[in-house]
Amino acid sequence: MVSPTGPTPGDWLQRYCPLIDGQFVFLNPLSWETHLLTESAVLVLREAAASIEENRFDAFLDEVAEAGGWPPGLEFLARSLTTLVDGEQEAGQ
Amino acid sequence: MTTPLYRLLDVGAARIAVASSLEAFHRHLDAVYPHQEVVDGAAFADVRMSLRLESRWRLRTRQVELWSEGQRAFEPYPARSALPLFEWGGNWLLAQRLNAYLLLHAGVVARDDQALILPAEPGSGKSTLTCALHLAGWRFLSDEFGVVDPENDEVLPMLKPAALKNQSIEVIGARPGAVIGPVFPKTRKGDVAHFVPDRPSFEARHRRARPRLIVFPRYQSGAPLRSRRIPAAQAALRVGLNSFNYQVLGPVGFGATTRLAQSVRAHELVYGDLDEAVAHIETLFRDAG
Repeated sequence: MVSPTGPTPGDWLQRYCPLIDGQFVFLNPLSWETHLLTESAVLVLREAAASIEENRFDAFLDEVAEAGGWPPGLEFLARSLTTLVDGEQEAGQ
Repeated sequence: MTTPLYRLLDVGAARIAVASSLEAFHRHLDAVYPHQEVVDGAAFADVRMSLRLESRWRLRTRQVELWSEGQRAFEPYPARSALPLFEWGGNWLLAQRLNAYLLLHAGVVARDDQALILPAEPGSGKSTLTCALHLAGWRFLSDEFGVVDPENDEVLPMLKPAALKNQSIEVIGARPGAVIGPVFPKTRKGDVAHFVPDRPSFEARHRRARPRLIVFPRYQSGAPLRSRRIPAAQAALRVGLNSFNYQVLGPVGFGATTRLAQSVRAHELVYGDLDEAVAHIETLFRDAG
């Protein structure tokens, strides 16, 4: 279940990962640090967000591993999106 | 126990109250805040602090301590450097408290209430450039703090004197119209003196400005002038990195920096000649409209 009070991971990407002058700027929901991202990195984060919302993030992690692993630094950002869902779901994964 | 007598300074975006029995400190304060009216010291202040002499027995090496809300946040300074301690300590306290605003480490000047924001790391020549622009006719809004209201993205003045260090004291002091307070030699940051903004800037300390241009300055001795446009996404990132409270504000700071970077142009400016830098900024500002 996605937290009823805060934005979902997908909402977060909508609001805090805008495209500005050809580059994406992403606000990490956990550390509140900001990162410049390429379009392909944002696509991966969007897939991660969808998997979190559908409660299949572990399966998504397996898919990424099978596909050759994470691009540098991106796993940390994808995992930061899991903090937007409640602890019950995280514990169940 | 008597209640200390506070002096209240209204610097625009904030009010600072200070109490001290050090006569020399008050003389120095008068010199670098010459336009301040007398305000009731018991009125609201964002930051309230006391400068107290340490031991009464160490006559030759007496130290002064800065206290605020029952805490001594800094190591004591030599008593003769009470003003630099007040300025640096006060800035630090303001950076902790004013979280209704995005606080940039930036100089800000304006023409016709349109702001030029100069975010920079320490040692980049930001203060020198801010003072030179002010002496060239720009309204002085602030040297240390670029105060951005995230509600409407306007910039508020924080009209404190600009701390000049070492060679900058002479460079700015030699310019027509420069008013500089006493020099404090051999502080922890070298020789320090405070540049005094003019009265019209002081009187406009409650008048906000709209951002029009961002310039990230970097002084490099002997370097030819180099200027390049910064893409907006990188500008947003760099503005955030040059902020005191960006990470404290989280989404609010993110929104303010991304809107700022999308609404105004940003340039990086490396300069070795101050007059050349001022002239180039005038051109950038004019073209930014």
